[in-house]
Amino acid sequence: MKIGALATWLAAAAALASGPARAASEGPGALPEMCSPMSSEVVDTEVPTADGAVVHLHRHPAHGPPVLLVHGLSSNHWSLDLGPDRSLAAHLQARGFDAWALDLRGHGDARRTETAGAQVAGWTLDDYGRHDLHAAIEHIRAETGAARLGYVGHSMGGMVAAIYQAWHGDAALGALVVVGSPIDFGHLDPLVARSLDAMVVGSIPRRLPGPAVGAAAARLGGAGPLGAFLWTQGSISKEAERRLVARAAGNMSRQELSHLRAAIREGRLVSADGELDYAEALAELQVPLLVLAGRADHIAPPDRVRPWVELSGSADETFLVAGRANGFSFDHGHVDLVVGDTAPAEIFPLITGFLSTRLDHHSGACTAPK
Amino acid sequence: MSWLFALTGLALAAPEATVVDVGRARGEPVLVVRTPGYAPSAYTRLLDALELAGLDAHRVDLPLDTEDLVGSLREALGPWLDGSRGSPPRLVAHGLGGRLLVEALAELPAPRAVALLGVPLALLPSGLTDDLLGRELPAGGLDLGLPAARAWTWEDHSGLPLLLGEPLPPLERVSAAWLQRLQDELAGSDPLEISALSASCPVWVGVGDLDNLAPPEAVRPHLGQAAFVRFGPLRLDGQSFDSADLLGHERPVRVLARWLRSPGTPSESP
Repeated sequence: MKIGALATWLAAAAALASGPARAASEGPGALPEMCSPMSSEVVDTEVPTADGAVVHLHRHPAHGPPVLLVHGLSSNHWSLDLGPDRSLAAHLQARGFDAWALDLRGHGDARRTETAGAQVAGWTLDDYGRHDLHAAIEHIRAETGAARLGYVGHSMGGMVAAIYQAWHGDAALGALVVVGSPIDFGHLDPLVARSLDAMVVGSIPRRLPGPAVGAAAARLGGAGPLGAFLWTQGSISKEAERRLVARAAGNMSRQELSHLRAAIREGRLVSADGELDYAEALAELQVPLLVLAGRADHIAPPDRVRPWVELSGSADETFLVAGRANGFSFDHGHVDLVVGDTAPAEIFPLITGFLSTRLDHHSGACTAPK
Repeated sequence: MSWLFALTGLALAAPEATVVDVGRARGEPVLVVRTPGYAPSAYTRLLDALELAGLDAHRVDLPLDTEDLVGSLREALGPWLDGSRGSPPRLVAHGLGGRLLVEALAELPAPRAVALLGVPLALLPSGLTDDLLGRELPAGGLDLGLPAARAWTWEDHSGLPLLLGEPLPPLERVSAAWLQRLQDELAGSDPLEISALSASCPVWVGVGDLDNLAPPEAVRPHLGQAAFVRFGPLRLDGQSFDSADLLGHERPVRVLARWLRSPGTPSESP
């Protein structure tokens, strides 16, 4: 099994990063028994944001420290909870973490809400970080009584953590894990740059209807040739692929793409108006940071992800490439980092192992949530 | 006694590298540094592409029995770069040979242009390289082409193909000094700075998405003003590039050769 080698490598990498030397309490990433799961039932909550939108939280309750899970662009909470065989949320809960999977505005169950109605488009990544994450984090803190929570973001879900940090600081975060999250867009391949330009400048609708496209693709059997770009071939079973495209495809709005284009032109993650440099603001980030990248990730290749550790001010930071040269069974792509067949064995334990040694779960911290 | 001093001087001098004219074209000269351990035939596709681009291709073979590879290379390149042979040549290197080239150029006049293909400007740690670091070096060097060298396994992977690419290019013997140099550099070395080089002449750098020897994150932060091309599956064709692919696949060597024909212009998209 690779986990032994992975754990050794991660421990070595963490030691190199001069992080705190707290050992995991029980097994790979498991919290003490007092942090045990409360119920297998998922609790859904709508949370309003300060600017009048609504986000949706899916709680997998446990007595341990809370962890917020945030999905990527054109996706939703299903990408982090696709089913019992590959759910990061359930994996965390089974190890005692109180896992909260988020739907950002306009995604998943936050596409149409009781209070905000239809949320279709009209916002940028700034709004996700500035308003949506702030609302979700404050809600979780109020519900659990925890001062700080863990954060796991996949792809854009990590990028918006940088935006959140720039607006609100990191006082509410106990540890940050970003998985396949680009932060540096320098030296973009001309073909990709031209494609993005064409998508935004061309006559695309106000939003790209990801769920409808995903449902149609699922009926046709899967993602087709796009899958070769999104994940390493053979890393996601056909059945899981159909589930993925049917459930986890989300909308993409013209404004989101415009914002991404602005960041790409700038070479780094900046605000939609170009005024704020979120990458530079990471210098203020002080919390423990785990940065994971897939060697074969063509959306967020490791050189676009690694600058997290160079930019952040954290004294406890670890960068790890999920590839064969680090003992993984294959070179991971983008989507398979969180929903691949081997993610529960190869990726999730790295996350829980990191969080269990960084988030406070000692004695009083594992009390029953409200 | 003078004969004794002369002999001592010969013994201390770095054994000479050899520059082999391998092309039939009579264009501008281009020198390709052959990385220790790589057989000449590993460079066939690259040399053919350079010739096809109208360049007069030469291969620089480094001596096996020296501890000063950089010195040997510097001596071989010196006459080409000091103006005595006319206009300065273009220079090319792949993999670890590129590290030798960049070091050698630090004390030489600027060439016409430099192309670095899959050259690790920084040597980042990985589980695989950690394993290499812990291995005892064979005192007599190692023939990378023999099965004994290919018996190196790490986790469930065959080590050499994982590091140098698969299928492996034709390989041959490396000296103990070369292995020691590799181990020393892996143990901790500053990234190679090519800022000064890229300010003095056009520099082109190509990387492969699956290259475990020179992964993009070990290259891109240290580019200076160099042109940069990433080779990977940009056309949904699933074609990825490891270290061996960069040397043996048609696409990277063609893009490199076309850039070298008119260095300083933007590189074409892969």
